Amino acid sequence: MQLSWLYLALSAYTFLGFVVAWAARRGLGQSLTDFFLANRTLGGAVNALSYSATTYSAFMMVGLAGLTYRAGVGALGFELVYLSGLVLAAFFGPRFWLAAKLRGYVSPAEMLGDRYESRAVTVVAALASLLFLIPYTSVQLMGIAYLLQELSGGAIPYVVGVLWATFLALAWARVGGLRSVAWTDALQALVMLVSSGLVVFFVIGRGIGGFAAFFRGLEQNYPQWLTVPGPGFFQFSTFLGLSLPWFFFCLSNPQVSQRLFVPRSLLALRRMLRGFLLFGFIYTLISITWGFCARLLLPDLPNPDLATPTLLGLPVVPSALAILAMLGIVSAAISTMDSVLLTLSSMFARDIYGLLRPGISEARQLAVGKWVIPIISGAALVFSLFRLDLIAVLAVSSSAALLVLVPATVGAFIWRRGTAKGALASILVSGILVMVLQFGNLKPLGLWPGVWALISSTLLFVAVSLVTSPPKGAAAFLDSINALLAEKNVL
Amino acid sequence: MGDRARGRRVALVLWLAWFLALEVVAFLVPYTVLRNVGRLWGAFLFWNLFALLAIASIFILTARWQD
Repeated sequence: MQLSWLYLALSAYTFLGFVVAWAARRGLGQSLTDFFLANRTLGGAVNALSYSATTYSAFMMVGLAGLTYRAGVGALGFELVYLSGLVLAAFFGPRFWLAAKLRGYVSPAEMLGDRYESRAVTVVAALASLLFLIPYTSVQLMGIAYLLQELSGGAIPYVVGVLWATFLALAWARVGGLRSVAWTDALQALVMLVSSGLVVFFVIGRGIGGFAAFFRGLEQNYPQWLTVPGPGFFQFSTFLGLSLPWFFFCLSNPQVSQRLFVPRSLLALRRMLRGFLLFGFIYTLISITWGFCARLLLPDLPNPDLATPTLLGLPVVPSALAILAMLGIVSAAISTMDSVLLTLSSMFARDIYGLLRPGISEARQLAVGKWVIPIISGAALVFSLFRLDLIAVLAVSSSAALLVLVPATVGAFIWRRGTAKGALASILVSGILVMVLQFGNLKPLGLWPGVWALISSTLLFVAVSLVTSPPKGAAAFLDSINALLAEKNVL
Repeated sequence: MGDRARGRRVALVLWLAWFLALEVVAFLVPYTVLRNVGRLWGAFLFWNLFALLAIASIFILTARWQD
């Protein structure tokens, strides 16, 4: 890859991102809701693209393609099970959206605390999100830095890649809050989809000899890769352990569940979900196809994570397209990072600082939130520079660990008897359990930590709720939401 | 409970049962019936059809929403 073209592409990407971020900033008000939720006025198309870009990180084109290369079709099943989990957003999305609109919620942790009438629930949910999502952000940074280092042949050192990506994510989140994040995300989602799709056509058309040859090659040479457990990785317990946390991702991860507060109307929320489903299905197929193409063309790679960079380096992929695809991967990582940064800073300002300093003005919360963005970015930057094993474990365990928020979140809207003590017990005890299992690399009865997280948090939430008193306002909260849902023809 | 509320509850239970069945099938069929089918019409096609069915179901589930 020619270095001058690489530098030019990175410069153009940076410049264009800033133009979009600044343009999106126009009309930005002074309120907390305006900065963190774009005043709840985003339309369906931008929301759908932004939701897609936030959900899909660099994992798709590097990790998932590598997993397909190594383990075959099980990777497709795992990712499509995740996509089907959007039924949870179709059910709970209108509930989140209505509750947030009626009661002015800014973050999912605030919603839980209000429903359970407990500040402790809010603070614990916010702290859990901070604990697991900052390492997750630093892993995105590490991914970008490694990719740039690899593609530039070492001309862009790891440290420079980390600094550049941190600067962009921080700046785009800081310039105009969710407005700039959503619009830059939307642009990046298009880059992700178009560039990765074009690579598939070039590699299959010029490298393999067409789709028929691609399908024939897989069936004749790698039939095991078309089955599960296949070459061995995807034993059923592994498939379950990977798929379960991702099935609940849209509820457990605040950077995406907060997006359910944002659409300007219920129909805009519907457009967001439908747009995301179509985007997700196509993008998943593309990622999987990359992995299978690498399996056919590059069967002897020493490490599956090299599948994508090596595929992009093949002569059948024009240099300009390889650079565009690299930008697509960088876009996937940065669009996830800036959304996480924004969500975590809103949770710190609103749910931790705001509750620890009662009576503080909304303007002050906003100021704190804006200051926290660079601090959280700095923490992610430091973690990624040190490359600690601890960070990798926390990042890997984030999807499993955040599952402990699911029973309290689901219970908030479907079970009047759910209590604050039940929510706290399920989050805290199960959170500790997941960490012990993850750090000890333990899988009791062959089940992964995420499966135990869900079992333990559900049992604790139900058991403790049954022996404690529900909040006084729970029935009224649910009745008001359910009445509005009925009016709007929502099940 | 009024007729409308009862109707909503029945619809909700039916949707829940449908999605539960879809997920169970998505986890089990590739590991049982299609376990030794090393062809594209095996687990690959199955999971694609499963996803399309899930997506279509979500489209229908949200079709009656109104502002």
